Amino acid sequence: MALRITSSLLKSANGQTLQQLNKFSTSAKAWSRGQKTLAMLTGITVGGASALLFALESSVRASGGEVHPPEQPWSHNGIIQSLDHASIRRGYEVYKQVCAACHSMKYIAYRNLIGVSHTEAEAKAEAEEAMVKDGPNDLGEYFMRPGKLSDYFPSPYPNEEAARAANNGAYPPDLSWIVSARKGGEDYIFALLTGYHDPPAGIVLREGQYYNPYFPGGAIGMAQALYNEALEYSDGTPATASQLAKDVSVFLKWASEPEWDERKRMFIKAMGMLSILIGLTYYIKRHKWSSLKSRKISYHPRSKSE
Amino acid sequence: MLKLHREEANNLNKLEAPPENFSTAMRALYNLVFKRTSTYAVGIMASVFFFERAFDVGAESLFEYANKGKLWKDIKDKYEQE
Ligand code: HEC
Repeated sequence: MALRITSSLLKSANGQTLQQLNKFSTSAKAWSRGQKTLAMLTGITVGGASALLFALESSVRASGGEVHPPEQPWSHNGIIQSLDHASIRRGYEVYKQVCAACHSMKYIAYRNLIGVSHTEAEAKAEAEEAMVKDGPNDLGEYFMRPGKLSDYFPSPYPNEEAARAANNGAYPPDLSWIVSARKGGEDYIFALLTGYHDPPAGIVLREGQYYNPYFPGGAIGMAQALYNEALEYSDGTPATASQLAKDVSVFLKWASEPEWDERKRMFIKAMGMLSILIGLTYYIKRHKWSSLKSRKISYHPRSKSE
Repeated sequence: MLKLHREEANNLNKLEAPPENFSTAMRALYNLVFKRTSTYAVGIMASVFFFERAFDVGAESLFEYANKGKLWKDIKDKYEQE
């Protein structure tokens, strides 16, 4: 004789199981009062903190006198966009022929150019153009020799004091990681290089200072470095001032983030792999739960007469 | 006693027939690969090899398609001399 479940003990145990199962279920379910309160408090806290951070950040942005650089449509903007390597190569030419007169890039070596903007033979030739101090030799003397692939870019000044002395006291910073070191990144570099103006009325510049609205304070110790036809590109691209600025910005972007392209590759792979795994996880969950969700529990108490 | 144990063990070792609802192709695959742990393991290793090759080549070609003309690979012909 089959009876429906009547025992209160069994009923509550069953209810408990269902409740536990319910926590893992993906179907719509009711939230308890406590859960609702917790979710609401979390929402208020996170929302409030974000609003506060946003407000603080905006007030800092508005407090300075400098102009914020406009965002440029870089061809490397986007989630899977690589750097433009032809532009990196031209940017290296700009750095070498213009910026290297004042700025060092002492953390970039000639070997880093191989497979990025130059072939191995070309990088070797670039290195050999530079004279590098080496030593000591068997006589204990230091000597100059042509550069090798493993050498870093030579610095224009032996130390910071020499650099300041030659630039009216202003220090031309090392450009190896300048894009990461400045707010606005490559947008800022481009705006700075193309943003020179006559100073507006009321701004007094000291000897050796120039007016650039993008530089904090407006008075910069670096003269405008890029002009139309300041150099001739080896690939024939017309060397307008903005072209020069764009290419050197991309080159400096690469120097600061040489792993850029690799990161985009990894992004594609990670997203591909994760979407496969999400699909699999969804399927396995449904598979494992199909029996739990479609089952019915029936209880057959042994009849007393048996 | 011992005999019974052995019988039981033999039954456990006996390989199962593929489930009824499998298609002919699935049945063949099941008999060939999934039925034994040894072949299953080899199957996993072999499919990992082919999957990874295909996945990497696919990801790389998507990257190259999206960045056509910008990569070193696209411009190096101009600078390499044999
Ligand atoms: C004549 C020497 C000289 C040349 C050439 C030169 N710079 Fe500068 N640069 C300076 C000096 C000096 C400063 C420091 C300015 C200051 O702090 O007031 C500077 C500062 C900078 C800064 C830092 C600005 C900041 O936010 O602190 C960047 C970026 C920069 N230069 C980029 C370049 C690039 C790119 C080139 C090549 C196109 C270049 N410079 C060419 C002398 C030079």
